[in-house]
Amino acid sequence: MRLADLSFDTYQDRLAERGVILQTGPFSISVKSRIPSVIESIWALYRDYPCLDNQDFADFHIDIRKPKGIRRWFHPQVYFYFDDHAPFQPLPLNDAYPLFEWGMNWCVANFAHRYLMIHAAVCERNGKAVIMPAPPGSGKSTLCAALALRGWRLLSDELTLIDLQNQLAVPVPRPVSLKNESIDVIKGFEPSAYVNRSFEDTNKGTVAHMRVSTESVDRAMETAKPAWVILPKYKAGSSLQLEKNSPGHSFMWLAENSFNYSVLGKGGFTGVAELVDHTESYTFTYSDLDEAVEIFEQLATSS
Amino acid sequence: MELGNNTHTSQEPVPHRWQQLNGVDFLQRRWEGELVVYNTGSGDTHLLETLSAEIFIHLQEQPAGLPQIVEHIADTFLYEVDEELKTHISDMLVQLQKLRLIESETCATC
Repeated sequence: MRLADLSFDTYQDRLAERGVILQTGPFSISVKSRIPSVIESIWALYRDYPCLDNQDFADFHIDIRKPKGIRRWFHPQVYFYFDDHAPFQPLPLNDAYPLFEWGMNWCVANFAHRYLMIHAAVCERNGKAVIMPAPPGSGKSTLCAALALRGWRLLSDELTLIDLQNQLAVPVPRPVSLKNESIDVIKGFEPSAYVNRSFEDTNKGTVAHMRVSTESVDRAMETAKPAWVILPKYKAGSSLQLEKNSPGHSFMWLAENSFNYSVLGKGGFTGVAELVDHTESYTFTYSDLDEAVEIFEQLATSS
Repeated sequence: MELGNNTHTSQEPVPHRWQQLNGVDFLQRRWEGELVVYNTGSGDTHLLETLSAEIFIHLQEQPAGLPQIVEHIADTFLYEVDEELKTHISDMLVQLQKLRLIESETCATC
C-alpha cells in the first residue's frame, strides 16, 4: 500500500497517534507529528512511498513535536525525537519539516554501519550508478535533481550506501533537498517538477524539497553497480570541464566524504579501495544544467 | 670512549637506517604509481605520490640507509644521482616519518 492509498484524514490521524511507517530502500521509518507543515509536506512528498501496517517493524521511530510549556506559544520551537530522545537542540517551528529530513539523514548516517556510507548523491542510468561526493554549495543536489528530472533513477541526493558484501549501491530515495537559488533553478529547468513549499531562514537558508519520481520509489529495492565517481563543481559562467582524477585522489575524496570510513576500520579501507577499482573518477565543472545533463548522457551511453 | 671504528666525525650528520614503522599493520593499495596506505593502529590514511610510494615500498622490503634509497630511486626512475635528489629524498623520509609510516635508527655503518 502506498501512502496515497490512505485517505488524508486517516493519514493525519495515524501521524498524530500511532505513527505512519514509511519504507525507503532498506529502511522503515515510523514518524509521528501533529505539526501542520510536517503533515502537509509528508503527504505531498511521500505519497508514492510504501506505507506499512502499524504492526510492522520500523527501524527508526521519529516524532516531530513542539515542546511543552511557554515555548509552545512564545517563539515556538520544534524537537526531533528519535526513540523518545532528542539528539539535537530544538529549532524554530518554521524548520519542522526540514528538521524531519535532516533527522532522517542523521538516523541513517549514525546507525547503518553495515554499509559504507558516503556523503554523496547517487543516480543510476542503464544499470550503472554515478556517485557524486561533494561539499555543500558544490551544486551536488541541483545536478542530482536535474538528472532525476531527465530520466536518471534517483538512489539518493545525500547518502550513498555501498553494500560491502557485493559493492553495489543501495537506494534510499527521498525528496531532493534544494537550497536557496537552486530552488528556482530547478523550477525553471523543469516546470513540471513538484517542489514543495519553501522554508525560509533555516540553518541552511531557504530550503525546499523536490518529489522524486514514482519509478525511483518503486525501484527502491533495486541496487545499482557503481560506474563513476564524479565530483561536481558549480562555477558560474564556466565552460564544461570533465577532468579525469587519479584513483588515489578518488580514494581520498571518497574516504573523506564517508560518514563511517573510520568506524568500519579495515572494512572501510577495503570497501573504498574496491569502489575505486570498479569506477572511473572525474572532476566536473559546470554552469549550465542542460549542458551538464548532456555530458552525463554521453557518459552513460558511451560506456 | 673508543671512537676508532666510527667512520663519521662529530660534525657530520649521524647516518640513519630507515625502515617501516615497527609493530604496525598497514593496508595498502597501489594504482598507477600512487599508493594509499591505511595505518590499522591509528586509523590514518595517507596518499603517497609515485616517489614517496616507491620509497615506502622499498623500505617495507628491506631497511636501508639514505645512499641505498637514493640508488634505488635513481635506478627505478632513471634519475641521475646528485645533491638535489639526495636532499629531496631525505626530505621525503622525514615526511614519511612524520606520517608515522617509517622510522629510523642510527647506523654507524650506513
